[in-house]
Amino acid sequence: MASPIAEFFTQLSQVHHERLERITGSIRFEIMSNGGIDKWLLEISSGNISARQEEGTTAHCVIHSRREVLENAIRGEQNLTAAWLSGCIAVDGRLELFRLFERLLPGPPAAQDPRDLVPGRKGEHR
Amino acid sequence: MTAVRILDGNTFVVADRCGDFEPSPTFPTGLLSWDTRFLSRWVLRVNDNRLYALSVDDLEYFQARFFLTPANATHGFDPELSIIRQQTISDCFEEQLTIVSHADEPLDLHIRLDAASDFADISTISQPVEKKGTYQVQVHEERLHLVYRRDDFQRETVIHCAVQHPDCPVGPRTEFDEQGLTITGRITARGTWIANLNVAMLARNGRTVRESLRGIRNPRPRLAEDLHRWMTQAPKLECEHPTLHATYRRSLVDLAALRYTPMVSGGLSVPAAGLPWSMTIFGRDSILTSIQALPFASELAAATLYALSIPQGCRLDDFRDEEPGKILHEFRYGESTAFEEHPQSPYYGAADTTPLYLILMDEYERWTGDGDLVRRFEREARAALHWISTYANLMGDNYIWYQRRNTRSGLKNQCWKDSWDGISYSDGRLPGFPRATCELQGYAYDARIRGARLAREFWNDPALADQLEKEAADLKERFNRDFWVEDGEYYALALDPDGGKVDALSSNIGHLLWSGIVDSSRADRIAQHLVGPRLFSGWGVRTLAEGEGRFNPLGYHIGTVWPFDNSFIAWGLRRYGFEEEAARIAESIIEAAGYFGGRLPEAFGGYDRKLTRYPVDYPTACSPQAWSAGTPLLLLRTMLGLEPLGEHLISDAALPGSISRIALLDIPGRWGRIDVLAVSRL
Repeated sequence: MASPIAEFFTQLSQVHHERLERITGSIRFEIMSNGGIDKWLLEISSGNISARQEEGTTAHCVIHSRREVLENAIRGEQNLTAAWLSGCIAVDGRLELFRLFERLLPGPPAAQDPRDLVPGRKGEHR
Repeated sequence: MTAVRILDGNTFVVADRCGDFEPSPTFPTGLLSWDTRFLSRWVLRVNDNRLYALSVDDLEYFQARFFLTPANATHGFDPELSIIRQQTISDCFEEQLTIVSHADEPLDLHIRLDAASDFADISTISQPVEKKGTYQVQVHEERLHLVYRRDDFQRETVIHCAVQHPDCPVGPRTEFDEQGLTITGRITARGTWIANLNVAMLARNGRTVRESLRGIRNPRPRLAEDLHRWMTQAPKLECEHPTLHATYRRSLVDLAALRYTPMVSGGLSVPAAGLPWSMTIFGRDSILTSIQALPFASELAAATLYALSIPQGCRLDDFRDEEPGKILHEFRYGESTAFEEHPQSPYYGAADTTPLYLILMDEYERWTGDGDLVRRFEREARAALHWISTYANLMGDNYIWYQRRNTRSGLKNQCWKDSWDGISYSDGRLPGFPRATCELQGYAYDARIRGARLAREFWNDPALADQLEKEAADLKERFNRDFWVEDGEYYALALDPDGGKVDALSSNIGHLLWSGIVDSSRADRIAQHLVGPRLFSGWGVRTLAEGEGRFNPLGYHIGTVWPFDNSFIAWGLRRYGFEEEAARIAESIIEAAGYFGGRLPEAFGGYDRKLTRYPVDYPTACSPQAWSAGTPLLLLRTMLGLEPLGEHLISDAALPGSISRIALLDIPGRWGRIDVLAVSRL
């Protein structure tokens, strides 16, 4: 079975991202676990993302993270900006690419729509 | 307290008049950068004596010089020493300490500088929390290292000292210990020592905080050259009103000082909100300041639009009060944000930033003709419009409402009057949630009108333009029905969750004039309230009218006068043709600036001018504050009646009586540069 990270990157490469339409650049992930490092390369161009596992490629932005941190982030359980501010992950190169990638992650699974807090409106807007 | 402040973007020092600082429980003294205090104690003693300040020069916003003598100097006593401290902020903190002997004999000197850091997060300085990390202090290779670590989070202060002794054959000895450093020796008769202290502020791996977060070195312009460029590019003001002249200059310098380059703004600089509490990007403050400064420095607006676009909300997140399309409230880099004890990574708890973002985008294009930017951020602008009609539309009535989902550390009031008691009924009660404050509806109206222009002219979407105009017209009609307080003849401060009117009389009604949502038949009543005795103090319009249940002339949002608020009110008055009332507010705010050395604070007391005769300081106000520095600029625009019209700039001046003539030269815009001359006619 594919790892959650591989699955998430594959999903990203299957849809068009309006937010990234004006962006060209590449992000390399160095994902550490059990003493080894998995390397992924995401290439962004005209709103499309291609993802592949690749060694030693140069990239515009490099994100160093422990596996469990990234896995939590793709489940919406770890805010990656906070992880970056706390030094838990490290980012080298074009920071804008990291910030844009962070915007592709899901929010916390239990988050509410503010309209659902209003009595009588729950679900009405959907 | 008398404090000396030097700053550069989000790095600053707050010291006393000797250049010393020690922790204060109420005010963030010390050396702070990226929301962290890197030095909390920095105290100089010479031969065991504290020093006495003769004078202080704020040479530039990033540099101050202190002239000191030993504290035991008394009248008729000629001190044997002069001590000059020059402190400079750039990527690091530098102090040049010059000791000059006036004695005819050599003197033994023992110079002591105490140094320590608590690495406090700025947001916890007024309510200290127990630090969860560990401290380490170490002297290593003639440097003092102060280190704070919590998991992978690290902040480090490194102090180094090099002493020159040009006239002395034998130099002093410098020794570090864990509490600071000591310089001892014998200074020759009429000799000079110059100690150059360097304080580096680092994150992990010996990199600066900026480098550590960015991963690359970020070359910065030399501050003195950059300030010169900034000042020469701004329009020149000629007038015979010394206060206006000094205030204009001070405002430009302060805006230069508050420019801060966030991590994602393409290297452009946005206005940070204010020193000391808010040296970071705040959506509301950065947008409103950029609007105020458009005729003078439109680069701030471009940078702000850029910097707010990338972190635009894209998902639901209760802790951060984030929703898709929402423009952020605040971004912080400190420990409590990093460990998610506070939500500013970023926090989205503001209901006005999103419509204001659209207003800024339109106003920016009207001044600069930069249609490329409007096309570039079309997706973000559409997402902002969508947020207004969906996630903000909590009650399904097309008003903007707010109710925080982060009930632990989120803001209760998500409008500019964001203190807990900022929104109240006339009798002082606080309404329930959600709340719909009136100015939010004005901004939403204006954002739709302006969005329609952008859709038609730049996005090739006339259907959207028609729809937005229809929605705006409907909103205006309903607003004038639902918010109007018949008895008092003004607009309610807000609606409560039952649709009832939160009926306090407040300055918010002035913003409604700026937005254009006021029915023209009612504008006269609104104008008369704004310059009437309950709201107008003589120095400006109070946030809350005298006689309201919660009115307090020193209440943060319930009675003080906020200069920025007044600048938008004056602009709104002119929009509806109330030249005299607008000029009166402009004149009184400019006169007030004279009492603050040309630097308008965030807020000042709402006492009646006849009572106090001078504007009373608000105790913990930020100063300089970006939108207060922007205030004289918008007041100038208002008095000169400057409006872009197609490719031209038109002027329809209405100067107050005390200002007989204004010339504003080289106003930049889509027309190139234009001079405007005006003489008094009121």
